[in-house]
Amino acid sequence: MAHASDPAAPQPRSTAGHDALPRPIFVVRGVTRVYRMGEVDVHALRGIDLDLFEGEFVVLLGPSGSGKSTLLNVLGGLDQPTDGHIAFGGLDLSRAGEARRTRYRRESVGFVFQFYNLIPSLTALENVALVTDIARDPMPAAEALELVGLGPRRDHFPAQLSGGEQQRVAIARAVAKRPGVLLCDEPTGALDVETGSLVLEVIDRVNREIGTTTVVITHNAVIARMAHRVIALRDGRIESDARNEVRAHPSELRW
Amino acid sequence: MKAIDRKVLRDLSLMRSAAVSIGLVLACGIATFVMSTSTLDSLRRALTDYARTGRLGHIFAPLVRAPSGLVERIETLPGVAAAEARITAEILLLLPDFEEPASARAISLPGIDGPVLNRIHLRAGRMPDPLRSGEILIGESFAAAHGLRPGDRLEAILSGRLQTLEITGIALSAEFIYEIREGDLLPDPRRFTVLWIGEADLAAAGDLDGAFNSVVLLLEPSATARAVMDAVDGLLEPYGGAGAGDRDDQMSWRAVTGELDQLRAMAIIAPILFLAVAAFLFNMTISRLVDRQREIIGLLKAFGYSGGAIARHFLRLAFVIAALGAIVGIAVGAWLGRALTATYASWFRFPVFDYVLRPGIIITATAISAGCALLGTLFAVRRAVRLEPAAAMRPPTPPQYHRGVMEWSGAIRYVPASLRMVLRQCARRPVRTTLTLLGLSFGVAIMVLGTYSADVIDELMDLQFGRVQRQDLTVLFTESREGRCVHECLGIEGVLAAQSFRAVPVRLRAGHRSRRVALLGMDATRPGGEALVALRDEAGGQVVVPSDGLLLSTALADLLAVRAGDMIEVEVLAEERRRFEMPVAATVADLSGLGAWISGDPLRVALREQDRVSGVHLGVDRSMEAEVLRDLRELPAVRAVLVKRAALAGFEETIARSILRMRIANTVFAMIIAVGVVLSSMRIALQERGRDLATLRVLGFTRGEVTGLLLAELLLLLVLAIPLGLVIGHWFAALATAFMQTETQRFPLVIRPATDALAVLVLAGGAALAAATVHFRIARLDLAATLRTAE
Ligand SMILES: Nc1ncnc2c1ncn2[C@@H]1O[C@H](COP(=O)(O)OP(=O)(O)O)[C@@H](O)[C@H]1O
Ligand SMILES: [Mg+2]
Repeated sequence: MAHASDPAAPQPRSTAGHDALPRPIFVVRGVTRVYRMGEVDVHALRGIDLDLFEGEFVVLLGPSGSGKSTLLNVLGGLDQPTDGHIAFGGLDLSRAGEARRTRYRRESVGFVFQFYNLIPSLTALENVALVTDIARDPMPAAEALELVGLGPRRDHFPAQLSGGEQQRVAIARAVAKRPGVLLCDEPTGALDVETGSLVLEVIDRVNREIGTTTVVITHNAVIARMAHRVIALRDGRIESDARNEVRAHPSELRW
Repeated sequence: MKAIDRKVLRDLSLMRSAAVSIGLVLACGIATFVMSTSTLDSLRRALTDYARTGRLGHIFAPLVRAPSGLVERIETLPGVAAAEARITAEILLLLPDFEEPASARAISLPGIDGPVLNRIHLRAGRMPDPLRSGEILIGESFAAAHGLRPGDRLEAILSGRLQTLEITGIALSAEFIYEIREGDLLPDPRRFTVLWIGEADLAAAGDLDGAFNSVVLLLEPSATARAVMDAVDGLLEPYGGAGAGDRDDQMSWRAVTGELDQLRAMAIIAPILFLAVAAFLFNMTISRLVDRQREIIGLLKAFGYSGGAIARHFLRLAFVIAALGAIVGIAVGAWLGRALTATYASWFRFPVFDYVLRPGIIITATAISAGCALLGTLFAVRRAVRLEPAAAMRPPTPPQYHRGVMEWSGAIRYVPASLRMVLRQCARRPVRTTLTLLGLSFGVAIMVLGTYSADVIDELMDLQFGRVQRQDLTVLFTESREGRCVHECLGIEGVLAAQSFRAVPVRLRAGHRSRRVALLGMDATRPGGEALVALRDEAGGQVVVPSDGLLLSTALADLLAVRAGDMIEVEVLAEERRRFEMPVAATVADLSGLGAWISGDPLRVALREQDRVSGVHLGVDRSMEAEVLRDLRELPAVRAVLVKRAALAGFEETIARSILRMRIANTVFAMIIAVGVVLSSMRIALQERGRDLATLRVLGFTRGEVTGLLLAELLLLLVLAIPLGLVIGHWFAALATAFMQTETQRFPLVIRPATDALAVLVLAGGAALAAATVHFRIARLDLAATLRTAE
């Protein structure tokens, strides 16, 4: 496994806050994404312009089908825009080939999904090790598990963990590589309130302590109060883009 | 069409590549079955038909000379339906287009209608006129080899007199379906033929007026051959009876029935391997289908479909595949059977040898493939039937993994996380992993089983003609000659060594067991040096013929139930029945049959004769072989000259082509198995683990790395399957060899490393092919889709 470093990728900083010198980590210009479904074209994104800054905690809001996941997938190099440009540092994601985007995901992106996507045949620790084995400069897998408070459950298989615990393993897996950006698609979507807020707390802590740029999708407006910045999508367009004056702590959120 | 029937078609089209691989493997099994049973059937039918219509004798008794009247007494023996006396002789033919002399087994024609037993079937021309001297019929193989036609003339040496013979016709007889000289291992149609000639001509040449030297008997259905043979031997004893033999003592009959035995073995063993793999693929694929359609099954049950209807649905699916496999298999099997029959037709001469595919074989083949489908799907179908509607509608419980041996022992620490996936997945489904392993190893086994016979033939040839019979030429005399003829041979320019021998028909007796064989009295090789004929023990070491004991082939020793040290009674089957006793000195490997050897001088002492030889083996200077052969024509009383190299070349020419065809067919078969098994298991691995693999891709694993993980699993299985397959292949080869052993013919079990290597290579090639397709499927994984679903 080649661990060629990614010169284009901005390195995460050890401290961060919304008051730090803003430097765009993602530059999104005129991005559209059209899915061809037989005879009809589905316009998932209809022209997105957006700058995301280093260390920012961004919440993407919007009704179902508004294009949040599509935008996140495009940012994460899983999908490519039909038109427009996306740059991650010096890397032109809208032009990068499959192999280049694979390396980008491997080195710079941490993903957290609604359904965890853990490998059932691997223990918690091994699920994290799966990523640290191939990352450029990872933290030890055990340390990542400690970070999400799952040190004692490291040898459990996913089937032996609760949903919230599984999601925390997924977060540990995402952050263990020290990614440039953490992308979470409805991380609490399959969880109850208690567990959900615990998971959010972990994401929040990662953002505050490690300073990882974080984008979290939700259709729950309450969650938005913990972000630096809230972007609302509707019909594939940005409806609003606002900054929170005060970030709420996840434990304060009730929904 | 009912909705559920439409689902059968829909499911089939969804799983078409799986269906194709199952169908093909099944078709291979059916094809080998149909090929071997239909060829077996055709050959057996041709043989029994010809034995009946050609009135092939049951018992053959050679003797020195008996008055013609004796045959009436033989005919009245109980159990004898008909008896016919005849004169046989070996004569030398000189062909204008040929340096070397050819030899012919001449058989007397009693009249214009030919013999009553071993009837003549004219292929061309007409019967010789009994009133005209020198008219003959010749065998079809020989005529074809030399382009001889009715009306052509030949020079022949009959009892030392050069005579011109005219070919009036080309003929066949059930006695010579396989035209080979008695005692030879290889046919040589350019140098040997059967020849029919008027009785008067042969009688004159052999001084047998009003006498005969061979008698053929047809038995009544109720007769026991053994009793009749004993009675005939008793009658012929005063006339130099050399011991009666039955059909199994005839080279031609043995050759054809030996093929029948081999076909029978092939008809059983090879299909078993294919059908086992096909059943396993059925099981794997239909199980997977049931897993994927749990919810649909639950829904159907909730709608009121009965368990029986569900079972019928999945069975129908399997039967459609089985039917397609059977159709393809029967068609290919019939095609291969026709080709194999044509090959046999070029070796064996029947007046009628048609390829027949009886409906019974088609029905059996269809039943076998239905049975295979039923067996393969039974477990999966039972699971579908037992699914509770409510349970079926819930998603399956997530796979449970537990810490196993690898974890507790700590061995897992040395394995990267990605490979642990592979190991745990294999360990979690031990039955399927084992079956996949067996499927792959059967691919190797098929390849070994299908190609090892070439090694056996090589070994036979190498032992018999490389290490044992090291002479280049063998000269046979019409009657025994004085030993000085060896010096005449050595005098020919180009002859380097000569080893003479005395051959006499004898009956060997040990206790109540006895056997009629040709006893060879071997003389020393002159002018010295290594013996031309070097007998070998089973381990390959040279055995010197002792002066005070007998050497027997292992098969003969087994037949007589004797070992080295046991005494044997030897009865010489000549006019004077001399008997003597001698111990068995050792047994030797003689793959051609029932050989017995003794030193030349003690044999001559027992025969009370001096200095007679029956033939001489010659070692010659290769570059002068043609000249030597020409000079040998000048020697008196030569009845045949055997040219080893030419016979070997002729044999290899015919056998090489059929071996190559067999290799190609088996390679295709083994490839189909390898590709079928690998593709099916990879396809299922992709389906079951598609989500995990897509997740790995999302996490930044490259396409190559993900393919690598699937291949690691395959590689693990291959590494285990290859040695296992070789073991199974060798085992089945041993079984097939055991099937082919007869009383007189011993086949060694030889599997050369090259055969094993080819088998491994073919499996690896098939696996690589299948792996390549998997790589492309991984490229098509929908990454975003796996993130949207919970599975
Ligand atoms: N792979 C796809 N093929 C076709 N249509 C898609 C695909 N992915 C998303 N869409 C469509 O694009 C639109 C936006 O989807 P998505 O980004 O998933 O919305 P959200 O995450 O905001 O619910 C929807 O109408 C959806 O149906
Ligand atoms: Mg979404």
